[in-house]
Amino acid sequence: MHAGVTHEFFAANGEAGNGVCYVTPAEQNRNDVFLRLYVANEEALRGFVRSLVPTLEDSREVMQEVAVVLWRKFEDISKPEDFRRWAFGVARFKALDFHRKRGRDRHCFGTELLELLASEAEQADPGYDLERRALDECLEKLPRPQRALVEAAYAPGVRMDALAEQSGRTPMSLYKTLHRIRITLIQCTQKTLAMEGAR
Amino acid sequence: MNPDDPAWELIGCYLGGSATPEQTRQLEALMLKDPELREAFLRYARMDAALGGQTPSAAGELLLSETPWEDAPKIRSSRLRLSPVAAAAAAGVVFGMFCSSMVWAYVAPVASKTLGLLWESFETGPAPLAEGVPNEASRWGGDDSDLVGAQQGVKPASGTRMLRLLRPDFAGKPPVTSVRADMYRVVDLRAHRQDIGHGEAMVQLSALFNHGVSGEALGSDGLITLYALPNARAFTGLAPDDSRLSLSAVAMVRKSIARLDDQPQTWEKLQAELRLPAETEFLVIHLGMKPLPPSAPGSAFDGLYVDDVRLTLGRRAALQ
Repeated sequence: MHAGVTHEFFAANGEAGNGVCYVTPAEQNRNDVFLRLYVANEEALRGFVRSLVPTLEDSREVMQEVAVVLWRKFEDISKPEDFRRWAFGVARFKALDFHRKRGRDRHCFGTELLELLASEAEQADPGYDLERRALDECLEKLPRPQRALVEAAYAPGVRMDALAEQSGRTPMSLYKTLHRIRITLIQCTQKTLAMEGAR
Repeated sequence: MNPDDPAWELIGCYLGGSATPEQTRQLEALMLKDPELREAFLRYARMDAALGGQTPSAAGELLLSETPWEDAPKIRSSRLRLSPVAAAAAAGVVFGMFCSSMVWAYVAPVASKTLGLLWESFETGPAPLAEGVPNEASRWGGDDSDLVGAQQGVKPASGTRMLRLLRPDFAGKPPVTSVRADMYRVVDLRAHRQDIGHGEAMVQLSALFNHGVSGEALGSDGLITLYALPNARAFTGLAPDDSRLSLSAVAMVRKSIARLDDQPQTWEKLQAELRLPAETEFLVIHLGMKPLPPSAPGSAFDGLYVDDVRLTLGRRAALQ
């Protein structure tokens, strides 16, 4: 699995084009600045949202909403240095709003813990780039079948029951296997980061 | 935290969407009083997000190769000449709604039906037009390119041919963007208005990129963009480049790889998803590559390749 450096943004312009529009230099500059800032913070935002939203699919949806708001309201920030704090604020609001809209769901954490997690995730600077690089290294170290299983399980739209059937397992067995691989990856990532820190 | 700590299991269940209310309350109580557990939870969530943000490689696809979608006939719309509806139906597969609320709840909102709109491996058909964004659906256009077989250590990802990008400067292209080769294809979605009108339609685009062993270039990047357009005016008539696509689009998504690996025997995949606003009538697929370090504007390229472009239409409910 090669992560490379990927970026993504989503824009909903609202107005249909009239067919004679061109991107002005000022607009192009705005696009470039936004993209640069978004790319630099996307990984952190994605992890932040994921910690507040209980499923990966829902967190992807919330991230799309976050990206739309950031894009539409980009003019609200006066200087690029404010982008990260502002973006985390938007992500926090959207994630908590997701819970508010759902009402009290007994499968989700309560407000007190969500607020606590949001504060701690916002304050922490785990070094996302280093962590991501370490994760990539650890993925490379996984035996090929395990790595392929992770890639298959995280492919967008994959059906886990179908995946379980293809790999000759029960869904519960697959779930447990994936969980063990995740724990292995977390341990490996921590070890890699500790070794790099000691150098 | 010890890897055998039972709290990991609770974290896995919660972030997998499979925790029972009792497990959720148990984990919540533990986390409220244990900062180390909260830190472990955040670490697990970050890793899950990072894995979920990855693009699957061919290795991942091996495991999925027996899904109905992979068994569906390949759509090379430029030569099959199927109508969009017939083409989609030929490749369409019903994945079925998956709604186990316990163990696999986190995949529950996934598409209930997926249609293959395009599967292009550049096996047949004419070379793309070097005239910018094409004015019609079902053919590629953009910069100068041709269809070639294996060369420079690069083998086609599927079939015997692949698309080679030759130049970055079709007539009328703004000089500022004439360092990157750009290819476009318009996809007409008007036959799918009913599928799109409810606002839950999702499209997924993927393409494979590679570069060969060539003289001066040390590497290359790659990008894909998908524009959702409300009418045909954004790509007909005026400027043949993409400068107005982003302004005319009602939604767009872009993904890129800053630098491809240096192994011509491996292809790298970019994949993007986009929710389609109800008013979407056309999509424009955009593929771009440039050598690294970038060459002077207007220079010819050597060894930039694209293959296996796929576009699917599915459905996923929006958040309430």
